[in-house]
Amino acid sequence: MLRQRGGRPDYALLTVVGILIPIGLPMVYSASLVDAITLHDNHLYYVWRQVGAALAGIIGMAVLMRIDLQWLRSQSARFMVLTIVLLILPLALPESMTTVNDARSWIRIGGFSFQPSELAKFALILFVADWLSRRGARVSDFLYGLLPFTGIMAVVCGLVLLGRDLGTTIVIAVIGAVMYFVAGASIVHIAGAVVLAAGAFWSMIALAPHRMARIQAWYDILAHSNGAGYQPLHALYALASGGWFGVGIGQSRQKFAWLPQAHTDAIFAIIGEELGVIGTIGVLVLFGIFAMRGLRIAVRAPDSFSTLVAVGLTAWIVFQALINIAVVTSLIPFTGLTLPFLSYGGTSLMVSLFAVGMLLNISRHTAGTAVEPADDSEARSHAIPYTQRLALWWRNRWARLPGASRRRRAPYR
Amino acid sequence: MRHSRTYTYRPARAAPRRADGAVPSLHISRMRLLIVLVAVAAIMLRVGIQLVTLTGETVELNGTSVNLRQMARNEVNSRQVIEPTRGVIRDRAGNTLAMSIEAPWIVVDPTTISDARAADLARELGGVLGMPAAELEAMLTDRTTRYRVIRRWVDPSTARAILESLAAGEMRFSGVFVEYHQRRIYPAGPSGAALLGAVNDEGTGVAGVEAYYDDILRGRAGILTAEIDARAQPIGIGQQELRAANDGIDLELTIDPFIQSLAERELEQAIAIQSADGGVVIVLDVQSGAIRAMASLPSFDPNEYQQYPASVYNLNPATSQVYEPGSTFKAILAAIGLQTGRFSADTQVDDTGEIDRYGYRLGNWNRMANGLLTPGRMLYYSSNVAALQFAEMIGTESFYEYVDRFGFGRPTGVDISAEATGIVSSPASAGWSPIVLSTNGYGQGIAVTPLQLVRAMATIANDGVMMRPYLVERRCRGAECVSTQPRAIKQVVAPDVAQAVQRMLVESANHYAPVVWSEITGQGGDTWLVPGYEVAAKTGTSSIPNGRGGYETDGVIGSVVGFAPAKQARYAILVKIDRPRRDPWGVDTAIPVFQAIAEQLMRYEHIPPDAALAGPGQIAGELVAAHP
Repeated sequence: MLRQRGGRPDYALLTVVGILIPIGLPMVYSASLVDAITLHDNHLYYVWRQVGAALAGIIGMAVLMRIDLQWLRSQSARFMVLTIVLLILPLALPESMTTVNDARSWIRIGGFSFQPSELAKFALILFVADWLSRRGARVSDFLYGLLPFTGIMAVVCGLVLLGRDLGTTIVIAVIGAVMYFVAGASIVHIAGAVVLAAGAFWSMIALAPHRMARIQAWYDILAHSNGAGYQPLHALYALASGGWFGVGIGQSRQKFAWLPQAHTDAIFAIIGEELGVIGTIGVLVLFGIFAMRGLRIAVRAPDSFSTLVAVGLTAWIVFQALINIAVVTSLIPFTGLTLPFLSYGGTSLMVSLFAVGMLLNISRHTAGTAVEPADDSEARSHAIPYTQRLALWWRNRWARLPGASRRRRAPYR
Repeated sequence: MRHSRTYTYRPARAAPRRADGAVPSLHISRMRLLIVLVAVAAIMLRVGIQLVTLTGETVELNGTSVNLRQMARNEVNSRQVIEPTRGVIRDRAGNTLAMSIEAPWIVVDPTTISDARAADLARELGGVLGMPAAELEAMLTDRTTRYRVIRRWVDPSTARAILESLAAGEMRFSGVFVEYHQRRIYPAGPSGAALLGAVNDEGTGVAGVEAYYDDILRGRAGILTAEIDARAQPIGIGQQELRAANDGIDLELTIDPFIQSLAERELEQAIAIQSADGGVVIVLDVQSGAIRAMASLPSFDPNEYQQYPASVYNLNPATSQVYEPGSTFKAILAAIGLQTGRFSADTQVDDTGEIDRYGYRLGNWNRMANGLLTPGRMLYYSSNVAALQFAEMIGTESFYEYVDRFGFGRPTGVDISAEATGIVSSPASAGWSPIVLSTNGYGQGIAVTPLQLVRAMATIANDGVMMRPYLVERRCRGAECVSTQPRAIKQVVAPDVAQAVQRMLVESANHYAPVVWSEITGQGGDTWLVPGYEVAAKTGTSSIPNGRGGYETDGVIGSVVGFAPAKQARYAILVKIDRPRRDPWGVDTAIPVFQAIAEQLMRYEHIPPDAALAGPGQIAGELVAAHP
């Protein structure tokens, strides 16, 4: 059970994020400069939008850091339903409102646009964590564990994939797989699921010619340098040009329209060109620290639900980053994904910060200071007004509230 | 809603329960978390190795070792040749005769166009360019080159349509490029085409002035080395180095627009009336050697010279084609004889109408005897028999020495490409026989270019001083111009010799005046060719060698060479008509052209007419053109 008065958040994790975002902003500025001037006549166009998203993300992070996780848990099924509706929406809305870069996974209203698939990661993590922790040891059961779990994953992944967003589908699949693995799934089941997923994955590739082209381009990048291999090759150009120490901030040549999506998906290549291996390894190390701290938070989480949430969130950020970097370095075939905290993209930055907020939230309630509940079913007695669930003003409020409110603390404590 | 709303936490309904009803709690294995962390670390290690590998000088990509850094450099660094603008050619009044504009080509890189797209692209392009799609598709799918010109010189609106479509990011023209090249434009079309020549699609002059002055018209290319973006625009932070292009030099020709159009108009009329094959008119400024008009037919449109046979645009008939001068050469013969002193203006030979030489019977045009003839009368009657005897009096050595001094058999040095030298036999040449001298005396067996002949005549007109003929008056770089200085080559004959021949040629000219005037005045006798002026001229009818040592039987070249006025001459004029159909001697066709040009030149130059120089029915200064 969570304590109302949380402990100190994991400052190391916060520091990692606090380094990544300030690295990201000048890189976004540098990489987006050409597009910003040619398309928007304002060299800070993308930077201001990114700063706005960062501020919104930090506010969201602060809120999520203090929100009552058990309440979120209780709402996880509703979130899941809402998310599925939102995932279906882009498929039903007119294409002009939903399609960006050939991916039909956006909802655009007026000047605002967001991707329900980003929300889906959250909802899925909460839902799966709740579901797995309540399954308890039965997780390893085929009928009660694997089958429903596969069903959930199939629905979410299927919907995201229908929006032609293969990258996010893969990330969601990886998040689910890692959570399922950590929750204690049978190794045999996991092996079976991997075989199944690989088959599904292959059929997805074989069905779509443009995906097949990407595989071929990855295999022989030079032969496809004018087609599907163009972007991967130019990412390699950028990394190779950077060498060990980079060509200097703002000195990238690949950003001059040579490397497509230099400020979004391919920003790691621009970091490599301008800051060199020193910069890219530095970014890699920061994500490594993120993984360590995230899993440390998971280990110390007060209950299995929190652990699984922490594992899911950490897997999300770290694996999305690794897949992005592996794509940019041509270790795996091309797929469109943002690099968390670094790539330009409001939704991506905000939800990454929200994820950090939740991780920090869990870190404030480590097992050392919180009493682990014997059984999660205890949570059923929770009945707290919405305002009190927000821990923001918790501390001062209790002192001023009358006894009736105080008495409510008893079941909570 | 906040205080009233509560929620109930329900465990999943399907949760299996043990027999005792309790759900077994989930135990999170630390080992599994550690495995996740190790997996992350392993992936990071692999990525790190890849990042370090990419810093290497060369990188293996699917078995091929490549230098990625160099490839990136090659793509970004551009070396752009900046084409200089070709010089403008103007006439002496400043009218533009040739200029260059930027015009678009449509080119493709077939290796970037898939078979699947070729058909679509062929249809789209074919629609815009008006070309058959099948032909285009064949060009698009032939991947033996990365650069294929689909159509040169499309109109600007077509190029703009394609560029706008590309700029809008539409797929329909992707793979197509629009290149701008310099296109040579000749505003006057066929007028003056033979002397101007033409420029090919690569920007090289192929004929005429364009070819002769190609080096200085072309200019020097500039080079821009810069770092470029993917749209081939120089990037702001990059290094740029520019060696500016040196544009070509502008030429101002000696051609006078009035005289040129006069010459072209008169020539065209005469040729049309006679259905002649072609002809040449040259007007030379006697005192400077400047060419004021050089007209020839058949002509061509230099804007589209490729549509004509190479023989039409490659050769300027005035300088590149040779013909036998015929009787016009007798004027040169007279000058040589007087200069060498082998005969005087009073020396007489007997014209018997026909004469036997070396087994051949040679004769006058009408085989009629004219009796005793002085050199003046020899010219007047155009007597072959007399000319033959005068040539023999001069002797082989002196005759050919002076033929050479008059510039026959060698290029005039005029600034037009592909000048012919002519054919002059001499005792040293193969196949020589003494009869050659005899027939050369009246202009047979010798081949000259029209320009050589008119220059020889201009030398007589210029009191024996030969000038170098030239076509470029000034060369200008911007406003800085260098004028061509007229250059005297040599004194070919003494002034008194030249003046004596001038007087003889006035009578010769007047002898042919009735060709023009008899219908107007009703008088058949000699009269003034251009009333109010003394004009010197000699006619000629040339047989056309058939290439088998003989002459064609059904065609002649009629020509007139002369100058006006006869004293202090301003202009030497040559008129040559090839194969007039209804004029067996060609002279009746050439004389009116010569007359019309001469009389209008006198007026154009404001030379006052001498009232005494008018025959019966003539008024000094009046134009034949006034008598329709």
